[in-house]
Amino acid sequence: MSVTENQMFDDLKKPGLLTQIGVRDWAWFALLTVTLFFALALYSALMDGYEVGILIGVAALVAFVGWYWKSSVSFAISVGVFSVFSLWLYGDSLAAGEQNFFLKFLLASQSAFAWMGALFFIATAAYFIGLIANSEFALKTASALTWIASGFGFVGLMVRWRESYLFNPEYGHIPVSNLYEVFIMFCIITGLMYLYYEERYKNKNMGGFVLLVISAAVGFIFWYESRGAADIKPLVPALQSYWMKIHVPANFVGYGAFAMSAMLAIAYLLKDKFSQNKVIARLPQLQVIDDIMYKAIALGFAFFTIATILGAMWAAEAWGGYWSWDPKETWALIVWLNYAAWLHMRLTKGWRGAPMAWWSLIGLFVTLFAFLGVNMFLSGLHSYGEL
Amino acid sequence: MAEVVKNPQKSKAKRFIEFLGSMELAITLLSALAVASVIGTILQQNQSYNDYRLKFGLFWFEVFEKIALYDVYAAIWFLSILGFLILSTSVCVYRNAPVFLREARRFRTNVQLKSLQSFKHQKQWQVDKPADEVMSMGAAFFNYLGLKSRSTVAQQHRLIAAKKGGINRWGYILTHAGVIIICIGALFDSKIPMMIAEWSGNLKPETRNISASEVPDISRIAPGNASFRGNVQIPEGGKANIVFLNVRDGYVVQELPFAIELKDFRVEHYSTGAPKSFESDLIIHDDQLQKPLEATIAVNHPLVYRGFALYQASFADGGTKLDLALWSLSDKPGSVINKKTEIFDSFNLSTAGETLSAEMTDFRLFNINGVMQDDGSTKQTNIGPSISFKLRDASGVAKEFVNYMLPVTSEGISSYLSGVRSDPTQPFQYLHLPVAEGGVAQFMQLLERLSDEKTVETAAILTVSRTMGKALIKDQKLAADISGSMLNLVALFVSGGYEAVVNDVKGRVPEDKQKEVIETYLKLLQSVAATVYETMLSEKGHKTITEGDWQWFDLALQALNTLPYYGSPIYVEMKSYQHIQAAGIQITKSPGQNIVYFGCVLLMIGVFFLFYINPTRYWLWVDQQNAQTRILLAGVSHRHTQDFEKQFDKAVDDFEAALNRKRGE
Ligand code: HEM
Repeated sequence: MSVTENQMFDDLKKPGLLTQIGVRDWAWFALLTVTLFFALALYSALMDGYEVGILIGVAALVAFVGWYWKSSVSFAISVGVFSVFSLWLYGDSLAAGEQNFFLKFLLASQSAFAWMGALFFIATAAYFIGLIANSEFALKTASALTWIASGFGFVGLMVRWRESYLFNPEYGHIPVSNLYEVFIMFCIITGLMYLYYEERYKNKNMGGFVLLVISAAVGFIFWYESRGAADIKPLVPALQSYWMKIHVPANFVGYGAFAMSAMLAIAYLLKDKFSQNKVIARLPQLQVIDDIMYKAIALGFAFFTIATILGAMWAAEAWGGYWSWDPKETWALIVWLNYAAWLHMRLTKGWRGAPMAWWSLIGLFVTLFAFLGVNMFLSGLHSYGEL
Repeated sequence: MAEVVKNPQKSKAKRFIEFLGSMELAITLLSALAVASVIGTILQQNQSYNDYRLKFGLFWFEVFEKIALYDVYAAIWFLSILGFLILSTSVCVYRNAPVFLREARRFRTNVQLKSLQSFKHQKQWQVDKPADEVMSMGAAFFNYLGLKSRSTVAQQHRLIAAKKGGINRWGYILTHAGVIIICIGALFDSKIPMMIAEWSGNLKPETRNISASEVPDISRIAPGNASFRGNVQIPEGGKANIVFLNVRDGYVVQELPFAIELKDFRVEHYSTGAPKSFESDLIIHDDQLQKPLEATIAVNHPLVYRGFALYQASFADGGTKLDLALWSLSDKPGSVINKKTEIFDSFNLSTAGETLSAEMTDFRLFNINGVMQDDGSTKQTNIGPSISFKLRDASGVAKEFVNYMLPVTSEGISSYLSGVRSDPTQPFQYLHLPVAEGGVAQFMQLLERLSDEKTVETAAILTVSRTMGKALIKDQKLAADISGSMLNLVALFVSGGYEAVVNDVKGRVPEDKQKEVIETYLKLLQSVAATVYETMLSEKGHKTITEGDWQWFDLALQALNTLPYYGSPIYVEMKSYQHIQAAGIQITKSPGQNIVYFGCVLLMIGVFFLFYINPTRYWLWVDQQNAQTRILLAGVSHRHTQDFEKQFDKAVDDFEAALNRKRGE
């Protein structure tokens, strides 16, 4: 008898990640493995042991994210295909960027970033149109545009990486080394993170709010570009380290998540205040927004913790001490303490709702200061990306 | 959660412990830490006390000094906050951890029906199946959900209690223990031992600018010190067995158990002129070593030796040897003295009745500047070596100079550049000396001749005879007058430039004639100077004077015109140099580092346990009601998120589907 009962649930799909991995997922894993081997065969001569380790880690992360979030697979494949295509078009000459039609108008990093920016602007407008006019079509378009914009940004970064080597082999480096480059990364990461939650919660109505902060970043990028920030410059000695490859992106997952939670906080507060309003009523339920806000902060906090620790390890190697109370470090600590307090209040005191939303909105300003203000107003060891 | 028994007679000590471990205190401390950190970043730390005095004024300077705002992170109050944070977090972990772990292990089989019914997530069924069957179905169901379960049989009912994600509670312990361990590790690396030595009077920071060997014992720390972070500058070929630790407005000397020799220091540059790498070749001399250890350090590539980490931190001049020519501009203009000196040296100069002290401050091998190209674009170009020095007069007032060794081309014209300023906040004003073979010598010769009355007089007579014809020469008096006034003109020009000539005319000639007279005078001046120049060149063996020679002459006149404003009695020409660099090496000993890293690992793992493992509990209550079996499925999750709602709904569907299925199908 008990045998039948035990088998009773066997035909049901089991919850949990590992049990849900199907053929498609293994195919994805296989594809990444092959790609990884190709990349190692091509470039391992240029990399040290740490960098090989990081590459393998990235492949594993992409595989994991792909299993967990299926849409990311098509995204990653598209980015890969377009990046390889652009590199192939470039060949060994930077001049191709001016001569080749596809590069000049679409895929050379500057063009790709321009597309990214323009599409993020349009997507923001489309999200708001969708929300206000209650148009499913506009929302779907906005969502598609956000995907494409993130794709352009990502391909642009990959291409810029190659361009820096073509520009001058001595200058070549991963494009996460200055304020201009990390701002682009911020747009991509925030965009993708939002798309994930949009899909998970099957509600596109809050998109405009999140895209607003991305649009602001794009505005900054365009302004900054006009001041020559887009020029490819060589790395100062302090940044010539494999640590940069992991420390900076980890930080930006944190920044992106915190920014997103703050924008959702605005949506939350509006809904809380004007729930009678027809348009506002279309926003997800308060509880749902609150939920995503918490998840974003938890994710951001986890990555920010890692990033800060990695930063400390890097500092130990570059500056002679894991902690120097340099303004950037100190502000990272302040940001971290702020969100630690936020999480304590929510998880142990059970705080919810408007006060927490206000707090995460304020958190954006703290984060913004750590991210931009420190570079603008304070001087210290983190002397890259001055405005 | 633990039951808190309200007991009015709780002892004071107990209440104090509770206060220490309370969330309120923790949050207050965290906020205080954040505020202090903000202050520390807004007020630049560890600057010179003089700067602070200037910035805040005496009153506020002292107030801020009293509350240690110039080194916030080593202030007692700041360390106390950290200390309390460690204490508070430790008490919190000490009190909560056992409770949390016990709770996590327990299955909660003693729940009551009422409380299950009050759950937000619960579902009831009435079925015809026997309770036994439902129970074994339930066990299988929880197994399928990946939960651990335990069943109990009571008089009136049966119950299965199930749970998963208990490891989340370990997340709490790991994160908080991580924070505590990090803080403890940081204490090992803090300045506390030094502060204690200072309070107990065993250590006194030195504030005078004296050489390391003169620093008295009270300002020295023997090699045994557990942790420190300091800097030392070693010139190429030099050795050091100490480092300097900054303490507020002074420093102490930390002795090392070995000596570091700098064999070579290298800077490499990108084609833009930006630095590409800084590298030092070091030799470690240590009695414990069979033979000296050689190693190269670079930014991001320190050397760790015997627990001491050596970093490439900065670089500076290491006393470059200089071969200078000091051209007099005042006493005997154009005369020269050769001088061998080196950077950081100073020497006395007596000119024009006063003694100046010349202090050689810096040498730079590369000076990368944006130089305008023919096509109008600017390109980063190296314009060659320069020296910086100061000339200080008897009253202590100094002028600052920067002289370039090689000619610099700007707007198509090459010249030797010397920048001067009296106020360090102002940009340099530049003197441009025209370039000729043999450096500035030709210009100095011209200056010498123009300052020599005899030479000018001869030239004046020659000029007069050329321009006015033989006839006039006969009129001795007129000729003497004219040459006399030419002499005067040249003297005015040499001492005060064109402006002196113009002012002289303005003082003597009616306004309506001034313009005309000035023009005439300037022409006269130029022709006399030209004659002096011609004579000079022909004496040097020039047969003809070329277009180029005349261009040089025009530039020389321009330079002479600005020379009076140069404000220095000498011109320093750099003939040659022997570059000696110094590397700034940062040396640290941080025994707490691995403790901190260990804490970091705990923290990282803990954070993921906390956020991504969601403790979940389910109960299946089974009892007999009328002829039927009543089933109640209830669930609760620690996080109360939307996800659990979905999970629970699916669990209900799955269970219901199983209930509805016929046995054996
Ligand atoms: C720098 C200091 C601290 C940091 C960074 C920190 C960090 C955290 C984090 C990240 C959580 C996770 C929240 C969760 O998911 O449950 C947490 C939970 C918690 N913290 Fe702290 N904490 C600190 C100090 C303290 C102190 C001093 C206390 C003492 C009252 C405390 C009490 C708690 C409690 C009771 C929880 C809830 C655990 C749970 O129910 O899940 N924390 N802390």
